[in-house]
Amino acid sequence: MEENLEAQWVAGLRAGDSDSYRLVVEATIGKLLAVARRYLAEDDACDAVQDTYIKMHESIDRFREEAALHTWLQRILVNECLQRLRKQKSRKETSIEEMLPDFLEDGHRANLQEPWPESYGKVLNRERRCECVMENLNQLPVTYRSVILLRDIEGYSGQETADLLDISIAAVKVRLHRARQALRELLEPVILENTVDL
Amino acid sequence: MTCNEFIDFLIDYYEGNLSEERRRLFEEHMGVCPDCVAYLDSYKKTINLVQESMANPNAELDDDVPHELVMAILAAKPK
Ligand SMILES: [Zn+2]
Repeated sequence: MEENLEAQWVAGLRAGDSDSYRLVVEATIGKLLAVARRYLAEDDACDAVQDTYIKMHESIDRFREEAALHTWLQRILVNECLQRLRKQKSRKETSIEEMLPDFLEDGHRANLQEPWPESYGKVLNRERRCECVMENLNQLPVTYRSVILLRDIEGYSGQETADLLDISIAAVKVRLHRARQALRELLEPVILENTVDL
Repeated sequence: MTCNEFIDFLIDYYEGNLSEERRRLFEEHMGVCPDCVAYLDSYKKTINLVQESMANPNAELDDDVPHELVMAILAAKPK
């Protein structure tokens, strides 16, 4: 969004102007919905986006101009998504422990590690590969999946992630590391079985 | 350093946060353990795959936004 335009929109939102509200929704909804869909199934994703605009309207007076409007909106949205995820406790989840590598008592590996080929980024076609990563990411317990989404995907810092999840920076690091390891474990058979010699 | 310890330090190594001394031990282990070298490599590749799938241009098309959702949001604008 261009800066001047954004300032006009924010002024419009503060004045309760319907056109500004519509323009902001139209300019930001594509990106917001794409983010929400990473966290939630379609219906919940749409609800989270809708509630984000209501929150925007309610708290526009607290918006600080040094941040970009879409960055601020995205943060409100991510909070909405995380709150909804926390409520979905009923989902049956595999424990993360089962997805981590095994070690012998002396601290050495229980299994040999097969190297991933350099052509790993070309297995399947791109669309299928991306779907597959998403499907496997969705296998992770919610607390771990959220950390990958926040740190590796949305690009929030350790501190920002800690604030969003209301945990310590140290806990963010532990969860992120375990989540990446578990995802690595889940993706490994896909990569090794679909490798074609180029 | 054991393989188990290697994995504990791996995230700090990846993010460039290991002390000089730890990094030396870490790299020493890589010199003698091809399994850990392969593990570190696949850990990095996992992160690359995650980032690639999120950069999927198809995921952010405005065409993907249901028209009804936009209408509902505009209609719900608080006065
Ligand atoms: Zn090792």
